[in-house]
Amino acid sequence: MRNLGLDFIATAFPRLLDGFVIAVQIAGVSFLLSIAFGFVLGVLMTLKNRWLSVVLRVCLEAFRLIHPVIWLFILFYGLAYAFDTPTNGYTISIIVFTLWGSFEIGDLVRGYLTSLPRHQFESSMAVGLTRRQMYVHVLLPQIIIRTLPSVVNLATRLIKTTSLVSLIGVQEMLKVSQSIIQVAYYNNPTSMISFTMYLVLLIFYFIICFPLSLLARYMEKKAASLTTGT
Amino acid sequence: MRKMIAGVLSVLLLAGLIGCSSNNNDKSSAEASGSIAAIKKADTIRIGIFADDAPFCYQDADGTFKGYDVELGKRIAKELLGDENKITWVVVNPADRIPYLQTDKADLMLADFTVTEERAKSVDFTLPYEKVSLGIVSKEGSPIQSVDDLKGKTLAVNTGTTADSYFTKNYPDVKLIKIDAITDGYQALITDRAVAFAQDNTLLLSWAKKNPGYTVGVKELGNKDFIAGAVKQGNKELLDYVNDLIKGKLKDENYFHNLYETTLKDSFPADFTADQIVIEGGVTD
Repeated sequence: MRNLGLDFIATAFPRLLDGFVIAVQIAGVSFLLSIAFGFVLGVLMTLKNRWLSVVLRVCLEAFRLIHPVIWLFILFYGLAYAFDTPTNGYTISIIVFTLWGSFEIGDLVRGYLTSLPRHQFESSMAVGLTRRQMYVHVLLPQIIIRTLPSVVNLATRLIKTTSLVSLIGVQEMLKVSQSIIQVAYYNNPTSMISFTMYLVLLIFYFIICFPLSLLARYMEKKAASLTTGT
Repeated sequence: MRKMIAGVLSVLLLAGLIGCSSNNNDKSSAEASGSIAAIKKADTIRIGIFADDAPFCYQDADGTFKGYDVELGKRIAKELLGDENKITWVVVNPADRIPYLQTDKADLMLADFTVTEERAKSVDFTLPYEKVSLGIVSKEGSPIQSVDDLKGKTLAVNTGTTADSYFTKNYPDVKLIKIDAITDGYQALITDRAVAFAQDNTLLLSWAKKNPGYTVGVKELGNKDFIAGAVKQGNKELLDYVNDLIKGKLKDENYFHNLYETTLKDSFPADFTADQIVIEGGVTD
């Protein structure tokens, strides 16, 4: 039987876990920041200020249409050249993923806010709620319920996209794996390590993303029953 | 009023975008990053290295860095900071080496870096410590014995390497597939995406020795090139420091010859000698 390289994966397992933690950290921190910024951005996008909405629209399209890897490179090198300062791949990754996530969530929130029937705003006013009360007690709960499934889906996309950050020198799972593959080949040229290593990676990604996917599906059902029930 | 608030908010947002991305701006102190004073203050030297370039610089399964270039880096750290472990290894791909120096992501590059005129316009090279020319590795069953054998066939090269520019410039009729990681270059050959892989002959010879069924059919191609360390352009202080070390202390110790014995010898064919690879004291004749 051909060597599967499992011995190398075992030796390198702590490094692989480090890489796993880094990937989860980048995705996790960006995700939490995205939720916070995203809701604010979403509300801002609905304001009827032409200047503001043009700026936000441009930013939204820029982060949605242009691939994150381009943003990673642009900020990683661009900021370093422009400000003559060393940039850190880890920080840059979080910045890029946060911006991307915030605009994605912002657009979801905007979309839902604008689709709300007019009477919700009017009824809120009629019963004497202030603007703030209307947002907090009437609109926000609905937005959360309706956007949660998509927001959770965004989390899985963020996690999968962290594999790109190895391109700007962050030692996450993929980068560590490639280094393990190389050492295994160097010591045992007929090893099947490429296959086993990527299989292990597949399991790692599955472990994080599958529960999230189940959660999203559950929430979708829940949201449907909640919003049709009222 | 609402319009005004919205306007202020959008300005704040933009400022926030710019602000949070440049927050590490203010730590640039009086001494330029990469200067010896800055390195001593940080108490660690950031050395750019490959993680997949055995036996010159590679990362073992347990995470430790090993190889000829790595040992040199450790020695420089020992001389400069008194401890060979005071190194922050910055793992790079071939095409990252120049921008990483230019943007201060590494103080010193010791990543199997071939000296070329073009590159010398962007970075400052130290005295060389190794010599190399291009080689072409292929399968023993269908060996590539000369560049003519490559006509109309696909050759793998690593993006931004000397092999890449050599073939692009001199043999435009050879189909190139450009690959970032060195490991993936070998994979392209193994999985028949390319009939051959061109890289530094030193690298290929040692690889072929470990990998039965593959042969370095073309052992010396192009100019004899030199491998040297590199620093950010204008960082004369660190450059002089490394150069003085190479032509002074290390030369007296016959350092690189000894290093060949401990790091490289086992990887090369038996008839290979240290003098075919190492350069002592930066003397290239």
